[in-house]
Amino acid sequence: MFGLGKLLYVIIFTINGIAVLSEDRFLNRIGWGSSATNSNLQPQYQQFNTGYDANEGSSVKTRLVNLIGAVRTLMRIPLIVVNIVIILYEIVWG
Amino acid sequence: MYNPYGNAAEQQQQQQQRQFVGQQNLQHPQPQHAAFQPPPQQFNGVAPTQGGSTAYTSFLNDPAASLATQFARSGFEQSNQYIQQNFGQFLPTTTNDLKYYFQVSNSYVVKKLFLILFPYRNKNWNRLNLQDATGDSSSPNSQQYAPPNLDVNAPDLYIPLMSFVTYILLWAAFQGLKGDFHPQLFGYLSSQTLAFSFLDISIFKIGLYLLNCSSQASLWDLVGFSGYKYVAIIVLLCWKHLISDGWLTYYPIVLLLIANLAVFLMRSLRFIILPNLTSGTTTITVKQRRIRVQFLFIYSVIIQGLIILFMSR
Repeated sequence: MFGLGKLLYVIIFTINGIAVLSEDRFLNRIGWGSSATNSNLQPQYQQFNTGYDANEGSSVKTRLVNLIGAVRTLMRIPLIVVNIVIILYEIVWG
Repeated sequence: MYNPYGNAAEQQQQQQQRQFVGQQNLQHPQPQHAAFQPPPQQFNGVAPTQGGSTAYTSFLNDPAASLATQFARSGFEQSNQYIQQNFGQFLPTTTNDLKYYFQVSNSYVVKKLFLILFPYRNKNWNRLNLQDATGDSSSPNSQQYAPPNLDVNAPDLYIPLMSFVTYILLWAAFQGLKGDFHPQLFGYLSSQTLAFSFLDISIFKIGLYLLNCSSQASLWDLVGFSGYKYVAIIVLLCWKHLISDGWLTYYPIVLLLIANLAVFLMRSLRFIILPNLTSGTTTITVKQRRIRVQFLFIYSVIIQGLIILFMSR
């Protein structure tokens, strides 16, 4: 069962990496913030509001941005718990 | 959908209706069938007539207890529904049974193995519906696919499972022939292979989500398709250990098998990724179509090739 432990660590580390991406310091700077794509466009391009669901909301980049945002909001608290468990395991049992 | 907990409520309603009808007919006595008498009176007469077990029955007739049972029943239904909605595609329930994937026949297995290793002679890669395969229109659900023993293109789980076990046993046998076999090898190999298949399927699922493919491919379909590469890996292992390991004779076979598996996967998974021409619910642009085809190619060739190379070293 040794290989599965490493796989678990790899998965936890990658999700940790996604969860610590800061919204306003990093994602907005490179245009990947979930708030930057919505609020700045509304007063100017009113006619594109209805098209949000059809094509603009389903491109690869918007879905990736939504995925990152969802991981950040949903997995914060379970990740805290899992990280504490792993740290305790590593301290106590090596 | 079969709901085993919905029938109790119906039966109770039916009994109450029969009880109501029985009470109405007491004012207008009509000649009734003898068997019609017991059910309404039995429900009414359990508590007063039987003096011995009144404690148990009055406990059930207590309004608080009936309220509690009603609450427990509705809570159980809700939790069942929650599990079914969120994890219904993973668990084998009565509607989503895994038995479909194990209805294989000998001729199907032989044909499929030949297809995996040499997919150029198959003419039609469409999956058949259940109605077209058996010829009868009695099944109400026309979207159900034909099981594997009627359709060569249907994915199954028998071949991937068998080839997974065979791969582990073969690897252990060849290690034993080389002289360094230890029993932990089984656990180590199986956990490594499971980790690779987990990564494989998660890459495909994330790719499907990012490309917004509105497909009805269930998880077990993908598990089956991803498990067909073990057949190629087994052939490579046997070739490597029994025939030769040199540069000129081994690596062309590796590339040939990877190319064949890639063609097989691309033709099978094409119907999951690209939209069907008959079901025109969503249409995609040319650019999206190109990205999807590129993703299919990258997945089938590069990712599967890397995994095969790593697992047959």
